[in-house]
Amino acid sequence: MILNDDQLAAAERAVANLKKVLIEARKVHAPREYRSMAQPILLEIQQRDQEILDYLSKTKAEIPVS
Amino acid sequence: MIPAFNADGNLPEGVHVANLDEFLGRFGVGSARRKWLGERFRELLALVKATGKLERVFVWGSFVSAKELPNDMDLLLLMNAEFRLADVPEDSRMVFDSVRAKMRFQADVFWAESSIGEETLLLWLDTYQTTRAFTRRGIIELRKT
Repeated sequence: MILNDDQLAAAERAVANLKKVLIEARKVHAPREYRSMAQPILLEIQQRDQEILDYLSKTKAEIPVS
Repeated sequence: MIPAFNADGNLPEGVHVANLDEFLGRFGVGSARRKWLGERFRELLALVKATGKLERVFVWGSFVSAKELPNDMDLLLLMNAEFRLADVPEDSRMVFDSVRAKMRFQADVFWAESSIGEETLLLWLDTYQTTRAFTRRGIIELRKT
């Protein structure tokens, strides 16, 4: 759970890193292999994006004190 | 040698190399849950080795933490450039299907071909050295046997 803006930045960096991994992986994997290896990474990106959106959807008063 | 846990109950930041016996002797003991996961790990590793294409294995997450009852295992398998799913023996295929692997081994299995390159691998490993609570932690690399 993201509790402050520093953690938000770290979460966004993690998502960006995972996307870079996919971009590089797509260059070197055959289509079937890429689809398979990308699956858990895409799920991870989706989960982390959801955490980012959850944090951004809250007002300041709704964010727990970290 | 695998280092001691830090104050958060995680390995210190970095990639720590261990052989299988050392790894399971440290993390596959201490609770029935750990023993069970350790056996699943051994089974999973045997299936991956049966492909003949395994190059490197990395493990992170609660299994390599001080947690008595880890939820699951997180691992990255690096396969050589000749690896093709079509050539994988039937029994080993489940390892490379993330949904089946999760059900069978309680493991989040990530995999890639080593041709992704060292720079991309380091970026990937660095990403997983940050916990979901945004603290830093270490990763285990299993020594090839």
